[in-house]
Amino acid sequence: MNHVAKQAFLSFLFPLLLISNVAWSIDITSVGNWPLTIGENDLINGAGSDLNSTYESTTYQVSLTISGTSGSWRVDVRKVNTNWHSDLHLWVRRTGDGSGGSVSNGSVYQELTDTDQPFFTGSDDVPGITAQLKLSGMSIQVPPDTYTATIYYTVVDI
Amino acid sequence: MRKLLLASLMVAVLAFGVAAATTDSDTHSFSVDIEEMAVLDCTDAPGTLSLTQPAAGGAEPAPVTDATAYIQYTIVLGSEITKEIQARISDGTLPVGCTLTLSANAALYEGTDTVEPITLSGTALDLITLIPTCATGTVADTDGAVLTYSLSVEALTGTAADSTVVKNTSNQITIEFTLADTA
Repeated sequence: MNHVAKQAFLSFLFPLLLISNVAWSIDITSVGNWPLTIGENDLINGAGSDLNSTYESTTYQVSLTISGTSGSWRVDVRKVNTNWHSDLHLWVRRTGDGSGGSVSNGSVYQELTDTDQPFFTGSDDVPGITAQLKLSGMSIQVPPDTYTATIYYTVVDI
Repeated sequence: MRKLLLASLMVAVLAFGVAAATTDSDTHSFSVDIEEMAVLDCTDAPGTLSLTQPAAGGAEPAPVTDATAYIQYTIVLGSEITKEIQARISDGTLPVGCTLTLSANAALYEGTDTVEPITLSGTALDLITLIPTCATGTVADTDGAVLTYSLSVEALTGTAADSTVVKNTSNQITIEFTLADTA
């Protein structure tokens, strides 16, 4: 490789490779474990009554950060059950826009299933997008146990 | 030189193409811990039970009953099979020569009543047994198991022992109900 070829490699290919590996490495981080405990204090009206059927987290329970973007993206969401009861239903909705780029959709509760569903869309880097979780279907007919699921958020370039 | 540039460009475009389709995922957990529950509540206390003189001379005073109080409960069972409710006198004493009995009428699927009323004393006795996971409801005077109290004079024998029945005494009795695992 002569001197000209080396210069071509350094001045053209290397920056391109660098750009392709750095600028397009989209990333999502989620924070928001929600451990919920249900006991006698959750009875609707004390002794003789059933349990409240619905429980909501704080509106800022989940915080999502999208970075390394190069334009528009979509966030999908699903859950994977570890131990679950068929009466229980878990929901999520977006409650905040974060800062920076733009975010839209996802502000109405949607039930989480075991397959990816579109949650919300946006563009550019956006930190601090908040979300809220809701559990429904609770009653005394759900046997005492610890029911767990992992919630997956996937960001996709679009 | 041209070959080198072309090859380099292809590699770069390939790398670019692969990277542009990128996605990324992250997770957090959710867990709900449902505890076992066993809570009960008594609605109204029964009214005053007053023994009055019999209508006919020679007869014993008729027992007096009250069925206005209810016991309401919520049970969420874990590893236990069933629960039971026991009752006892926890405070106060009955007038000498008198007996206080109690029975409960639980609805279907909210436990099994004792066959006969239990005679209340300081010792806890089973009142409702085999209670499954249930919630009786909380509406006053309709939901739950109705409690029937009956105060009577112990059988008079026509002996000196009869004189131990003390008239004109007024005692306040506290009844304690306990939810326990089925023995």
